[in-house]
Amino acid sequence: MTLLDAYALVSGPAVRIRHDGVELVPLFDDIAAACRIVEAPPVPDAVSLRAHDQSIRALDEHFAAVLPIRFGTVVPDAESLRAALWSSRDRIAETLARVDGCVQFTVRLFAARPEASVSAHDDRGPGARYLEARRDALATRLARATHRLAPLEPLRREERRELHDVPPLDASVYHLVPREHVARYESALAALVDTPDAIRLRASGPWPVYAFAPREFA
Amino acid sequence: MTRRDPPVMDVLEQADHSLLELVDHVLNKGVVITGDVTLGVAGVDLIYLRLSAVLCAADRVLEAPVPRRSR
Repeated sequence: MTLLDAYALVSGPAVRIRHDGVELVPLFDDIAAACRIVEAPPVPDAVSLRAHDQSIRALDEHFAAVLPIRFGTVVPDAESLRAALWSSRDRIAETLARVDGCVQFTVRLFAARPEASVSAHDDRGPGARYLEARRDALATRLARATHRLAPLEPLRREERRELHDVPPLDASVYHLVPREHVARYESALAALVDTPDAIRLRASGPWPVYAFAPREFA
Repeated sequence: MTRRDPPVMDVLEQADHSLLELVDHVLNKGVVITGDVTLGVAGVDLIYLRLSAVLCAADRVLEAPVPRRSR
């Protein structure tokens, strides 16, 4: 029995692609799913993961908007895939329009955790004081990340952030960058990384827009 | 692909050279399709794998190198 390994959603005029076993499954309107016919779900080893990423990047040559699907998504057939995504078609179209013409850059922020200072001289209970201190520490982390990455703000269309609980990795920031801004963004990012600061940066990209795909399509 | 300036090459980690970054992006991000869709990865629970990938990336992502002072 064969399966379809779905790895990206694309929008644009129907293009017949015969590249390394890629199958374009029309879904609705001008949106299709890029799939590969397989006999078993993929194994998550280094070779397969790189191949998955490279396959998504290859679609950029043919489509302005490409939404990566999480590795390991397999369906019995095209009809199953259409049925699973039918109710989300408007959201898919909206998301593809948002990422049209863009790539992703990922910036990791490394910094010491700000201490949550709890004031002992307060009428509130210890629980309330503790939670407020945690909230203030969180606000500090968010504000300093915003300040550190401020020079990149004019060059990116959207930003997503994840705060982490394992020091020294403080946060991961994902930027959606229009292709026409990539050269300037890379130069600005290089200058930022090279600037001594309490918050150290480690960057990678450009990537397909992994972080800007909705968490779930049902 | 446009040619990058050397300073950009030095600081911008090549996406295809970092397995940790690749794992985090490919396994932890992207559209999740639910319903009658199997999230199967060779018979292994994908949620388990995702947690492992996130834990691995969180534990082992190397600190950024100390920036060189430009003269």
